[in-house]
Amino acid sequence: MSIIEIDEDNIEEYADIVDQDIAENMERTYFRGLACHDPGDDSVKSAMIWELQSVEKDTDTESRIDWIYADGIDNLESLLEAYKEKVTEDEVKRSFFEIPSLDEQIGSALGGCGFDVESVESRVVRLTVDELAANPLAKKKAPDFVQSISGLDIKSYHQGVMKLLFQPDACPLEDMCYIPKNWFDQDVSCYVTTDGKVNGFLLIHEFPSGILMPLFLRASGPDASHHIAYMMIYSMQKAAEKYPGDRVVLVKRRAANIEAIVNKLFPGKKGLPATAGQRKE
Amino acid sequence: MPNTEFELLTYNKNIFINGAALVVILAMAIWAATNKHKVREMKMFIRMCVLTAGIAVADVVYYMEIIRIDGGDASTLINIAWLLIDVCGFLLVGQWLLFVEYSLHQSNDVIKRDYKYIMIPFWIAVALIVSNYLFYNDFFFNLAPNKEAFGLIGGVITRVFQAVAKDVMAFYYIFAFYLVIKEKKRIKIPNYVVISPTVICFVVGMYYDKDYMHRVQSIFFTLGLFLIWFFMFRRFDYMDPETGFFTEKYIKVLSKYYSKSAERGCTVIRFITKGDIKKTADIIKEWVPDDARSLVLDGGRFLVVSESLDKAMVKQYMALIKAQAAEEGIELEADSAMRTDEPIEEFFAKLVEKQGY
Repeated sequence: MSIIEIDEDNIEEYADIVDQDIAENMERTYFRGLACHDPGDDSVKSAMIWELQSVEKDTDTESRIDWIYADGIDNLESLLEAYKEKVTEDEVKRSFFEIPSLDEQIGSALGGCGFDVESVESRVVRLTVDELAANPLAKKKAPDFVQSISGLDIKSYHQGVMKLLFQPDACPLEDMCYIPKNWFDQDVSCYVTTDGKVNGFLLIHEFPSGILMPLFLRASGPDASHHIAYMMIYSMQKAAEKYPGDRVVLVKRRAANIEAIVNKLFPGKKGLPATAGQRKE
Repeated sequence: MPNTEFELLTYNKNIFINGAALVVILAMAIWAATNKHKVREMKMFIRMCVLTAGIAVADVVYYMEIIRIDGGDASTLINIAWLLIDVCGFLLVGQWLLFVEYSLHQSNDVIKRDYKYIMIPFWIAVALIVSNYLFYNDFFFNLAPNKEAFGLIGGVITRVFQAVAKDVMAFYYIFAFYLVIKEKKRIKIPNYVVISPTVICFVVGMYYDKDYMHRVQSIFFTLGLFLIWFFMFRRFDYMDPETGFFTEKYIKVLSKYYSKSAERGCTVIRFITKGDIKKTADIIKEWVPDDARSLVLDGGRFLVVSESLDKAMVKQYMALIKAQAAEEGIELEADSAMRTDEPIEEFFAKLVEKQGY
């Protein structure tokens, strides 16, 4: 088997097998990928994509596997060996995954390779634009100091993001300080200002499949909690104006505050069923 | 009315006490007006001095007029003195609340947004008092068909309105105190709680009413102002007037803060410039939050201290700030350091050394 590293330059070659939303992430700083090719016909027998976490932090580097593919379980072994080598180079101490609708056989195979595998309720909650629009919060009025990021200049965007990242546990996104403004939906994403300075963002990304996902929700200052609510109102209303009602919105309950918000606004909403696992490297 | 020697002595003493308060107020107002820290709180403080002086002056006028009329007819000047005391009292509590709020948050927008409705009870109380003065006065007294009834009813209404007004004012003083307690954990600048004792002075001043001694509330208010002055004086000791950053003195406070927890992260980015200090400080301010701990040291050096920056963000910060400085023609060097196992005082001492870290 020949092992090929997947990166943003060659990801298009794997368009037939890689989910387009996952593929888009290869543009980002800490995403890595490997593909295992049949040496005979060069067909892809297995592949996986993961993101490194805590790379430049004081805590151990970890690897979150986002996607894994295998054309037959026998083809997974070489891939996982290559993966092991790669993450060892990157000084990864732990690998983990939480993948909705993971093939059962792949899950079992991962279990056989040292992962503790179990079925879980994913942190990802699936909503639609209609559900957002129907929420009582969306009926309220957002104040004038909440605006879409379309009118925000690049420098102010970076200044606002960097200021918000100054707080402890500011953002679970590893590469937030590198993500450009235009990666986010310009009309639905919004920001708040206080005294002329940006001090809050709700940034939403539209994936190639059309799925919307809020990726950054943060505010600072004494009115932070109010600003977060205002931004949510604004974005819910703008999403309802811009997108059809059946458009999917995935909300990943990355942090405790997001989980609390989702539980409050959509009580009883469960995460997608997923297969999760982890192992030490 | 001073119809005994004791009362006359008491009234003269009150004039003297109010006069002494005026001298103290004047001294503090001059300190604020000439202070090199040109911050909004100074203007607010001067206004509070002027309003407290107004109360003291009104008290002096009140007592002098009482002594002058010596049990004679009611005096318009006495009514004006009462009105001035009440108006200055109302304006003082409003200004005090704004002072506390601005000191805590350093934000005009927060004041405008948070206080859109909270001042409604205040304006209702003002309306009650002003309307009371408009109708319960000598002019209408002389027109009243039944002067005894007018005096009785007017007196009762006046007392009720004044009680309501005092309670509203006390509420705002206590609300400001509550704000300080609530924000104490969030605000990292030390010793804001020093504001708290001033509340006691203001509230006591408002309610203190001991026979003929009641008109010395200006002393309590002056004491409250003195405590505010002391708080500002201590705070500005840590701050550089030109840049608004903390000075090297603040490192002692930081060391104390970090020594309370060995696990508390501490990342410091150091900038060194040969260019304009104020411009460099303004550039740094654009990229770090207002409540971050930014220090300016001698020799064109700046420290930005964070609990949470990781290596990737530190690199980004340094790159972004240097890039903007370069755009504005300012040469800037940068390096960084993260807290290790060494004692926190040694960690900061190395950063402050003029030779590189």
